[in-house]
Amino acid sequence: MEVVERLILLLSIFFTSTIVIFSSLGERRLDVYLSLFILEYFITLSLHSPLKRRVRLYFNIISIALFLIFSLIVAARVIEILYGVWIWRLIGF
Amino acid sequence: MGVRDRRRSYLILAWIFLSSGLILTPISYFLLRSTVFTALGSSLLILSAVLLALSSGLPRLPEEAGVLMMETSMRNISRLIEELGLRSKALYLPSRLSGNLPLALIPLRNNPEPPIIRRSLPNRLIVKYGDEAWEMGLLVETPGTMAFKLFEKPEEATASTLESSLSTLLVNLLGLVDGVRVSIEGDRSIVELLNPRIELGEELRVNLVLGSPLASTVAQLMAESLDKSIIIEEEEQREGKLLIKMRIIGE
Repeated sequence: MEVVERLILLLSIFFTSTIVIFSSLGERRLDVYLSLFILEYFITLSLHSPLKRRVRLYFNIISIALFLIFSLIVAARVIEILYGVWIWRLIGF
Repeated sequence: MGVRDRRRSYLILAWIFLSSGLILTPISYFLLRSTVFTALGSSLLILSAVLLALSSGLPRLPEEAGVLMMETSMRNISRLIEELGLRSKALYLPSRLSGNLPLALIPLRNNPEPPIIRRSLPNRLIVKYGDEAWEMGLLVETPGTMAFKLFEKPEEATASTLESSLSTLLVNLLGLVDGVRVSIEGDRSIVELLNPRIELGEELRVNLVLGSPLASTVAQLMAESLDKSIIIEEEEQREGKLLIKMRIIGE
């Protein structure tokens, strides 16, 4: 199996297992799912690196976007722990 | 599946995932209030982005066309070798000894012992590598010469660093094999390539002199990394494996 196919297949398996396992455990926090997806994405990517130069550029953009989302989730959790405020609720989510 | 069909199927799948994710995520979050379906929608969005990124890196040239071109170039070198009656095994030189790029030297005279090259050779087709009149040879480019442009030369050449660099190139970037194992003991090195994908139909003279395209690539890159000359002593095709036994020459 080619690297590209293995990468997409592994990522799909990871995402599906996360949803199945955590939903069966009754997890209701969306940020937990998102954090795990992002973590799985970075692990899978590092296992298949380096990729071709052309592909790497696109993956850098995706990685930056996912890292920003992850940082926001972490920041929201830190604010919740320090000030007891769930910031997403304040902005309507 | 052709290259275009494969690219199209990646794009179609990416757009299906993207549109499903874009519909599913807001509906399940705002209307259904379902975390599981929102997570499913988000995972579809990430997968669609990954598929779109991967589709840009799919080979633009069909594999058959690549093999055809390589076979043509190998046949041309083979004709040259046959015409000149060359039988000696090629000596893979690092760029330090062959100019800007790593090249292979095919001695014109058959000699049981490979020559030891101590000074940099001129970047020409026919070169004189020693002081004696008969010490002449052909300096040719190999598949490894071109692959060197994509190769990340390890700072310290050990079996493990070489294994990692060769895997990066042959498995991840070129997709020619499924795995690489390297062992070095003294002046002998064995490289094991798992599930090699290049197979040339006919046994050409060039294969006896330079080795198979994969062995030639590995030898050239090993020579460059070790900064020493290398000769392919033996190649052994086992089930799903190609064993390349090499000898490292020089101080």
